[in-house]
Amino acid sequence: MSNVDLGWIERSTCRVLGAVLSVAMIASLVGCGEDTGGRVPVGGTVTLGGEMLDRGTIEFHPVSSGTITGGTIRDGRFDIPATSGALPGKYEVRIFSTDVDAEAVAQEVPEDAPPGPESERRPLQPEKINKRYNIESELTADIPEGGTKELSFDLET
Amino acid sequence: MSKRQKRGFTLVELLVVIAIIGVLVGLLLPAVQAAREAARRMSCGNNLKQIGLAMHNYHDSLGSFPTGTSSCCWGTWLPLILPYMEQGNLSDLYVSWGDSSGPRYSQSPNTNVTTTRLEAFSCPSDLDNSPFSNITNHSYAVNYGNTGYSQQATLNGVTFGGAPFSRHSGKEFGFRDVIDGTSSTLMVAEVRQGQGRDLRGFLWWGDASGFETYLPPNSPLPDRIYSAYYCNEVPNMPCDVSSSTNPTMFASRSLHPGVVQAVNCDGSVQIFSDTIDLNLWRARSTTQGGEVIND
Repeated sequence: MSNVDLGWIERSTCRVLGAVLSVAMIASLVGCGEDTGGRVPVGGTVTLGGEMLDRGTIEFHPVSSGTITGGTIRDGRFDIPATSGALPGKYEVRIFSTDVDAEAVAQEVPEDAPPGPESERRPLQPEKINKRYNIESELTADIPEGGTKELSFDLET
Repeated sequence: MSKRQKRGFTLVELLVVIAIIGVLVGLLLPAVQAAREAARRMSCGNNLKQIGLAMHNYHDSLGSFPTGTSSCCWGTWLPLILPYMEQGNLSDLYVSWGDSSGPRYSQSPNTNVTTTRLEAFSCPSDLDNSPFSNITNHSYAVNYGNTGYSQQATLNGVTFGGAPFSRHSGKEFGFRDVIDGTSSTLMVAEVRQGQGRDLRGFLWWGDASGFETYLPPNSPLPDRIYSAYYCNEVPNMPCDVSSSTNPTMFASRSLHPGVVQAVNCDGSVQIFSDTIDLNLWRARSTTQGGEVIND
């Protein structure tokens, strides 16, 4: 009986071990998804006068209950991940944008200088967006269950 | 069963061992890193506790909390409370606090003080930086209330509700002014140090000496600095130039996952989730807002 092939035991052990290990690996990945407390991702595009709004911020203010959320707009797009996203529901939307003060900076700031009193003399950069899109906003959005990447706001100058 | 003598490990055995070790490391490494971060957070919270106690000692000695800042450049609360953090010798080197005819924070001899890295004001989770001329950034800022740095009476519908720190010397507040209750009013909170030439956490300078709760903790909306030159956006640290609708303001931020820490006016250190209701967060910063807080 010495020539009985016992290889099948080895093979099946391998298979079982392999299965156990792959289950363990997959199990270790479960729970890596973050708990977002019901918040969903919100994304979309913003145009101003027909052109993509290059730089700005967007805020979602809940109409009834919930908390304010928002994000930055870069090259016409905003993408708020679920971790800082919105609860599904109805929101008032506020969009702000201002030009970067590149010219003022080039004139005033010497290389490698910490700021001095000019910070208090500099007038604030003007808001580019009409107030009916921000502080007296007429914009609204419905965030559906599961979130959206397709919101679109077309603002007039 | 065979003529060849089996010695050592087979390939399969080796693969199984490697896989098991891989799974164990995969499970343990995040846990170890999380434990390390928890320890750093605790150390960071201890710094806040010490700052809170220093504020109380300052109040005991002088009858009020220190001034938040003397205008932009002639000293902030930081040099004022150094004597209560066992840094009296360093504090003595700081000259002409509040005297706009004297040297600024960035001029000699005050640079002897402002180029110092103060461990008690550096959160271990944070990344230390010196944006200009070796003048240091730090990780804790005082509470300037619920609107902008200029403490505007209203900002986009938010009404200023008082703050424990002001931006003008000669105008100091004490426990008597914290009508909402010292345990429900923020005193000092974490901020993240800007990297490169980013001025967030530049506590020696007026604008960055405080934080405002107009923005939520670790806000996805940008902090506002008076010039975009001083913005250096890194992940979770958006930054933009101050505008007429969004004036200069700095949110409380930290590198702890999902939370920031703050010390209340009563000296208790508390952890706040990034997802705290913004109205509650704003109410927690006001001294005289009259809000009913139930958290």
